[in-house]
Amino acid sequence: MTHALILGNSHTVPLRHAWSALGEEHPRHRISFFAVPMPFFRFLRLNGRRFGAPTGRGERPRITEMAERLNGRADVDLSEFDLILLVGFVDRFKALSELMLGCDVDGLREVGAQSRLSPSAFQAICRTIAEGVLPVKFLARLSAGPVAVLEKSRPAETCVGSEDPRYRGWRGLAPDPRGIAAVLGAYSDVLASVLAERDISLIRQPGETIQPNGLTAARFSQGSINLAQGEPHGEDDHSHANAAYGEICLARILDFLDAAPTPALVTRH
Amino acid sequence: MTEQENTSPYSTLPPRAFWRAGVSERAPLDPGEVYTPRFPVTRDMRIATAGSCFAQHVGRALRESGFNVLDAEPLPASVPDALARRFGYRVFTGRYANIYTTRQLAQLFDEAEGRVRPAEPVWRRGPRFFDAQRPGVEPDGLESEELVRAHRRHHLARVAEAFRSADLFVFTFGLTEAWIHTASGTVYPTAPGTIAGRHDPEVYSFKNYDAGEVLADFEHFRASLKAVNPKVRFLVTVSPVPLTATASGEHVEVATCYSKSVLRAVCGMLVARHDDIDYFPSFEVITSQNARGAYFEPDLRSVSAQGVAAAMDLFKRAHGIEARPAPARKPARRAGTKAKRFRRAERAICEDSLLEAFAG
Repeated sequence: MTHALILGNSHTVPLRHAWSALGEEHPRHRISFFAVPMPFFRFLRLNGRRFGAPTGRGERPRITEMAERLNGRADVDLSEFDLILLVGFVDRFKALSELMLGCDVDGLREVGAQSRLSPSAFQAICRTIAEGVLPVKFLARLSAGPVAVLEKSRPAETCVGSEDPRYRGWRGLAPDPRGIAAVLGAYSDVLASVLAERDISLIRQPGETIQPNGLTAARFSQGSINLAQGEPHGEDDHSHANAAYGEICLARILDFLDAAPTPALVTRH
Repeated sequence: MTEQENTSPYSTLPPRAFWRAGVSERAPLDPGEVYTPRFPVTRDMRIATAGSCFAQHVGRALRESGFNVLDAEPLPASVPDALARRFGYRVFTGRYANIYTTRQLAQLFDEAEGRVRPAEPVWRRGPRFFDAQRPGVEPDGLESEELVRAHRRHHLARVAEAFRSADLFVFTFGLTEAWIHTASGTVYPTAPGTIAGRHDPEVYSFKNYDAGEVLADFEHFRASLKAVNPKVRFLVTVSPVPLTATASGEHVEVATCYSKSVLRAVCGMLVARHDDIDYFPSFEVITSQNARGAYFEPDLRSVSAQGVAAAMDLFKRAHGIEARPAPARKPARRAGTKAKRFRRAERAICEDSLLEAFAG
């Protein structure tokens, strides 16, 4: 049996729902969760192999209470698990949307933008973006065990109707979505490469959840649930996914576990 | 004989007209009264920049002081400066890299306006293809000749648009020496074989432009640009950066003196001929004996950050502009210490410095 820990923030909710519904059908694997929503997740600390609410001089009662309420415990011993799967970390979709808004990329998106990027320049920019996503210090300290990252879901297609400035780039791209999917796919390739250099596997967003315009289909966003309160997100949320999305992702995660041993997943002794 | 008849014409001149008062007795590193603007440069003017590697410092200083320096091929602010500059972005108004000679400047605008087609426009290095007019902007080259041509078409369209819209064109004269396609006269920014291409003496030859040619080329450029952008004015400077190497057969110091003398003389002639051209004496500030060499790095060639600051502070004071930070750009994550990042950002990209590799 493989015992995996899904460690993350509010984006773990669809997976938790999916595992609750389907976990019994997969007795070969065991999945545990430890999640705290942003921005509180940033206050969690790694102490030896234990990860969770800070203790001692750095203790923050509110964080401790939240971690206990959401997980039944204030911290987790990472050495108990065969795999740590990070879910919901920082994305750079805003940066990518603004890049595409201003720049064509050779062979991927050529729509007459003001600037033009060669494959080399695009790859170099993607690498910089990808490296900025990684919680480098955290990953370095986790390096004793296998780690994988679940790619954060792209914004829902509904974001193009949002007035939120975070989605300005996507609004601008909406009239001409040619090549967006190709650009985002190429970025994922770079992210996977950057992670692989650190012996970390990337589990990509399932293709069936992505629209031709490169964004997450609305049907995988509607009805998403908030981690902290357990209530539905408002209509102005375009970044969280729902249980249907969680089921598809869970299937990918189980496929990944089934494929063990992989470079990232080795037997714990 | 009256008292008035005995008065020398020098007797009424200001102290700055005399070497002793203007230089010898001036406080060290005080640039003095070397610049009186011919016309104001204001933050609302649309400014295009081009020139040699020293022009990169000028452009950056103008941007950081809040001037409206045009960027015809912008990248989002989230892309770090060092990365953008590695691919030729954010260096000048267009992604044309260094333009060392007035012939190259005139040729670029003529090409952008569809009047000329440079010979041998694509150079190779191994299996990769390079734009011979700016071989450094794609450090690894591109995968096909057609892709190079497509990038150039895009670039030229952006250049034409930016130049046509500029209120002020800032150009730093860099060199008189260049390499040309012998049959056509097409000039290149680097010698073939330095970054890409192959030096074939049957095809390419060395050219050291004289003052008449430099003047004629800038006059041609000015007339061409004024024809489509009548309001544009010009601010010209001469790069104080000596030659890295000379192919003239002279000692590099002698060749440098010739080159800078020609360029400085042409700037003087241009200012004398045209009211819409001003000269900013950054060359004089940096190379002044008063600076006692303080404005050069230990290699005695690169201009120090202190030198750039001295010149640009003088420029801003003369135009009544205090330093103002550029519009806030979201800081991007970059490796290295703050000091290293600063040095990296300050470092100008000089293709001609690659010639160092050929030094014995």
